[in-house]
Amino acid sequence: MRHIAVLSLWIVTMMVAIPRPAAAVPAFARKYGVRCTVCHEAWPVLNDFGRAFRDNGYRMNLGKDEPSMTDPAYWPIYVEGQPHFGFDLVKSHTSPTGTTLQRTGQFQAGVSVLGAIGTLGAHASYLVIPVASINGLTLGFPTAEFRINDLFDSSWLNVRAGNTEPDLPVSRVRDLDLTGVGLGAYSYHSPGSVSKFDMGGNNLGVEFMGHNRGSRSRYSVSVFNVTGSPEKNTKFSTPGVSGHVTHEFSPDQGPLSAIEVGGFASYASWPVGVPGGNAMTSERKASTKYGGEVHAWFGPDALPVHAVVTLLQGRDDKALIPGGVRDGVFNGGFLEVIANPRLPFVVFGRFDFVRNQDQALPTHARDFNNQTAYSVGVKHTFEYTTRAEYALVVNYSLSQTKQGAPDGSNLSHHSLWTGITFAF
Amino acid sequence: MFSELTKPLSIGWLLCTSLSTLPVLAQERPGNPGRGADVYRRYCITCHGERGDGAGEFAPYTVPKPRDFRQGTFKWRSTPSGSLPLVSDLEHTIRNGVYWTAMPSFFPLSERARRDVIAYIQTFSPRWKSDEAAMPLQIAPEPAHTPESVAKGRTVYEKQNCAQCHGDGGAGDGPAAKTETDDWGNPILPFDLTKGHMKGGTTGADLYRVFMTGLNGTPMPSFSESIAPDEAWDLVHYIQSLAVTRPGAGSVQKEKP
Repeated sequence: MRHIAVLSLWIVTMMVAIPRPAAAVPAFARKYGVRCTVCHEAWPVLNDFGRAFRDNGYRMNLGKDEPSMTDPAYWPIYVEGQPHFGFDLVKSHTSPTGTTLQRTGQFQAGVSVLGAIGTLGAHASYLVIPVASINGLTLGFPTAEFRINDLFDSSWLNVRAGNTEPDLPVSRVRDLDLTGVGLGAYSYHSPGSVSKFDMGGNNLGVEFMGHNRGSRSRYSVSVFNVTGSPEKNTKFSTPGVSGHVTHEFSPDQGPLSAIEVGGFASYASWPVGVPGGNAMTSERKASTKYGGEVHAWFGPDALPVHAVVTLLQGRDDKALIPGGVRDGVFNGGFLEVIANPRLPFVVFGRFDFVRNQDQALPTHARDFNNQTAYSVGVKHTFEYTTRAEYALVVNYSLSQTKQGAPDGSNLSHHSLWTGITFAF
Repeated sequence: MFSELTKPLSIGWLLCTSLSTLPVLAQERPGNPGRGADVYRRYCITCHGERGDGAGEFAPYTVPKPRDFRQGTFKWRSTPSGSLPLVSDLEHTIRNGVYWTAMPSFFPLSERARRDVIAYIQTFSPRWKSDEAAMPLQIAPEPAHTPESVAKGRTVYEKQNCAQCHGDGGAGDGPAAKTETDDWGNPILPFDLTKGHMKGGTTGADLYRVFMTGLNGTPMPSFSESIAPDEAWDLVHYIQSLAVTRPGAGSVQKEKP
């Protein structure tokens, strides 16, 4: 039983850690002659310029975006790698000193990506990741998306179809944290829920999005089939919808260089569970999440301290929780800070939490499965040019789950990631 | 619990709404060259170089070459030929980019960041301290865009020998096109006026300004001594009539205030 619990924890950790393709794209650096710093506040986190570039369908809109306008020798291909040493320590806290359930430390290949990205014409863009792997194991869900830009000659209407990165306050795909811990509120469900919907993960579907010039006001609405649904995505069996709106202000003086506020929501259906087992029925019920965020950038525009607070509330229909007597409700969120004291050096940290408000199962205490996580890290980029870059990352995280151990005691998971990220 | 959590969020919304009025109150302020250096290192250095000499790592692959800020010679100005541009001219270039070149639009940056980087760019050349600020060109009101105006503009185009560089049809293929160089000896091609989008901006006033002030450092002279304002507008209308919409003409971000 203990081994199963530890294995489950490891699998969940890896699932959270997996979807990182399309983080930074050196193909664009080569095409436009810019360094990663132009589009990334701290690779892979996008800054305003990078976000506008992405929202524009990977176009600078100066007449040289289309394939026919680029040097024939240019290929829009990029490679990313993350060789590192990872150490994990999982403990249950039946005693004051704790009981070690798992201790692993090993060199790992990390995430490797071979992708292609760019434009197909004046109004069409694409992203294809045919090969992505983690620690040598090829992922079974490579990305492919096609995007039509500026419908009706307006930047307020763009359509993207495929397996797309969700628009959220902080993208998991663009997370500085490499331990895979945190942003748990995106994927969390009330204890016992059979739904596997992950708001932070890629989902197959269609996204409608728009923005003003400079992408200071934006919206995104996605309609999708929930990834991992029991019918294996063979039909639109578990539909979902999500949306996100943001607006950014730039005070012209004072310590704040910019503030952004936003709101988001998601609705995802899932076959209801059968009491006493893992089987599903044909009836669908929903899990929902909604919330808001505030980003604040302090200090110099080019070297800001970026803080983001995100709060959300989630609800799982009681029918999704076998034996549930009421809907499961929880609150969660995170506070993330990224500081960029000088250009190739980044310090980051995040505090995550999930707190259950209403347990669907009467046998669960209110705080059962509450989660708290802390993550800190530093990243120093040794070289960054218009062709390639490589950086050293040292990242530590601690996640704690209330009564999460197999024996019902509290569970903690320490994780260390130290290694190199590179891209060319 | 959620109501407790939403309280700070609501306060944040109110705070942000209040702060959003600040740009309205802001007046033209000088940029901070110290902060501008950081902006420059993040966004500009690969082309314009660490020392502002236009010799960044990507410069060898660009045509035309990035500006050497040490010279104090700028193409896109509202000021007379040979003079320094106004800060607003540099702001215009940084905000909108230069079409058909490697210079992107930095519109997504805040106004303060753009102002700061301009202040830093001004530290590269002593001219910004020694030269007196030039008066900007007064642009005459645009007359109606009529077939007659276009026909007159063609006459001006021929009379001023624009075809020598830009070609009879305006495609940038005049007899002198292949031998043109800028002031530093780098090959430079006359612009293809049929693209429908000019390098220095999308409006007729942008085009007018180029005729009347010239492009410093390039073979494009100022015609302010030889073209009257109404003739300049006729020439604008003629050149606008040369625009051809065709596949592969290039995507364009519309310029908005």
